[in-house]
Amino acid sequence: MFDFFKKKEKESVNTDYSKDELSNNERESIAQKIEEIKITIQELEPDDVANQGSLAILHEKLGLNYAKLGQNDEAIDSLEKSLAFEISINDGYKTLMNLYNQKRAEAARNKNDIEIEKYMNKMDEMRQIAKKGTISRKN
Amino acid sequence: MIKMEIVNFIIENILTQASITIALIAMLGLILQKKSVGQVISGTFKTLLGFQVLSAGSGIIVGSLTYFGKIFTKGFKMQGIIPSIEAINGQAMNELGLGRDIALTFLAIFIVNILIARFTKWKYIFLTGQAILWMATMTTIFGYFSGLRGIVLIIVGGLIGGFFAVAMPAIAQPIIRKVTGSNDIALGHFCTIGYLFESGVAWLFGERGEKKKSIEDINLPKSFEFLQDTYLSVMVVMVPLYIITALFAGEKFGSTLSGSQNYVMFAFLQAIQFVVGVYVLLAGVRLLLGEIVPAFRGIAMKLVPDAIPALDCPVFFPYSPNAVILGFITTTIGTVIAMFVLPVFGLAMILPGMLTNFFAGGTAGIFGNAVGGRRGAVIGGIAHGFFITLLPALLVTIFNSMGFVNATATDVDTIVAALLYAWILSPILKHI
Repeated sequence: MFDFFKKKEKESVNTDYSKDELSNNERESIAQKIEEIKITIQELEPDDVANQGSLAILHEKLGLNYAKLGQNDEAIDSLEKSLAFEISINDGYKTLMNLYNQKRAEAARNKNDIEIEKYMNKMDEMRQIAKKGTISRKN
Repeated sequence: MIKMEIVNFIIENILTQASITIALIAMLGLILQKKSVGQVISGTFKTLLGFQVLSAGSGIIVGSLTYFGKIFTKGFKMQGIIPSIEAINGQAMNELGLGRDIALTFLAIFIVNILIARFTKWKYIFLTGQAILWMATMTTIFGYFSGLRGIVLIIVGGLIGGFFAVAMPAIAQPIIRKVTGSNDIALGHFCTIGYLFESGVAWLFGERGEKKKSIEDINLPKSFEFLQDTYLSVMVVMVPLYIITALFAGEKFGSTLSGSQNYVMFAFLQAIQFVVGVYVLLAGVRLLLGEIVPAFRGIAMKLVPDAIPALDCPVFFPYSPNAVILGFITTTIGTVIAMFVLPVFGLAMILPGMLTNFFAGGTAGIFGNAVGGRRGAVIGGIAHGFFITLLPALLVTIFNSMGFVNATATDVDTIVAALLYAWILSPILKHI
C-alpha cells in the first residue's frame, strides 16, 4: 500500500545539516553572514517593542546559520531567543525541534537522566509554540 | 493475627482505591529515576491530587450531560450524544469504578511499548501520555464488557494498547517522513486510522503528479484566533447547542429541570458547566500525568536509546499550517453531515466535537494535502469528518448498556481497539 510513498522517500529533504558537506569557502561565507547578523542585532534595542519582530527574524537567521555549521549549542541558543522575541513556525521551529531531538538522543546514549528530561521538556514546549503559531500566523 | 489484619486492610482499603494505585505507579517511576526523597513524596501526592481533581471534573461533566440528555430526548425525540473521551474516561474512572484497572493498564501499555521498541525494529516510543490514558480507558472498559477481570483484563489491555502505541506511529511514518523530510520524529496520536482514511480518500479523489497543488501555496484567512483558547472554542459550540435544544424541549419541560430559574438561562449555565467540567478534568489529567510521564519516558529513552519519539499532533502543524486550518473546516463539515445522516440509518445522533475536529481534523488535513493536494485535502477532510463520527456512533449501544451518560469516545484508534474487543474478543470469549 505504501509503495507509492517509498519512491518519494529518497527525494526527501535532509534537515540534518551535516558539517562535512560544506566546502571551506561555504563555511567562510556562512561565518561571515553570522558576523554581519550579530552586528545588526547589536544595533537594535532589545527592549523596544517595535524591534521584537526584527530581532526574532535575525536571531532565527543566526540560529539557522549556526546549525549549518554544526554549531548546535549556539544554534539552539539563537533559535530559542528568536522564539522568545516572537513565536513563529518557520524553518527556525523545525530546525530547533530537530536539534532538541538530536540532543535528546545524545543524552539517551549517555544515559544522562537530567539532559533527557531537559530536552524532552523542551520538546513539550514546542507543542504549545506549534499550536499557538499555527492559529495566529502572521506571514 | 494482627499482621493479617494489616495486610487485609491494605488490600481491601488502600489498593482498591484507584487514586492510591495511580499515586503508587508515579512513586515507582520516580524511585526508578532515582529522584530525591522530597521529589518522590511531592510527585506521589501531586498524582494523587490529580486523580481527585479529575474525579471532580467528571462529576461536573456528568451533571451537565445528564441535563442535556433529558432536554435533547424531549426536544428531538432521539438520543443526542456528545463525543468526549474526557467524559468517558471520567465516568469509567469514577462512576464505574474502573480507575485502578485503567491505571494499571496505562502502566502495562507503557511497558509493552518499551519491550516492542527494545526488541524489534519498530523503535517508536509513544510519548503522548494523555492519549495512552484514553487508550487504557477504552481497552479497560471494553475488556470489562467482554468479561475480562483482574490481571487478565490488564495484561490484554497492555498488549493491545502497547501494540497500537507502536503500530500507529509506524503506519503514519511514511507520510510523516514526507511532510517533515526526516525520520527523526513520529506522530503519537490515537487518531491515526482516521488520518490514513483521509489519506486513502485523498489519494483516490485528489490531485496527483504535476497537477498536485499544495494548499500551502495559497493564503488562507487568518481569522481563527478564537481557537487560540481551547475552552473558548468548546464554549462557542456548547452554548448554542444547549440553548437551541432547550428551546426545542420547551419551557414547560425545561422548567421542571431548572426550578425557579428561567429555563434558557439554566441551559446557558449548564453549557458553561460542561466547559468547566472539561477544564477541571483536563487540569486533573495534567496533574496526574505530570509526574508519571516524565518519569517513565526517561526510563524508556534509556532502555531504547535509538528510539523514535512519537509526539503529539500539534508538533507537526508548522510543517503544513494551511492544511491544518483546511482540515479543521472540512472535518467539521463532515461531522455536521454525519450528524444528520447517521440517525437516518438508525444510529444515534453524534454532535460535533470541536476539540477533536481541530486536533484530529487539522492533522488529517496535513495527511490529505500531502497525499492528494488541495482537492484531496477537501474531499478527504469531509470524508474524515464523516468517518470519525460514524465510528463513535457504533459504540453508543454498548456505552448505554454499561451505564454511561450521554457520551461516546472520540479518538478513532481507541475506538478500533474497542471494536476489536466488542466484535472479535467478546464473541470468542462467550463461546468458550
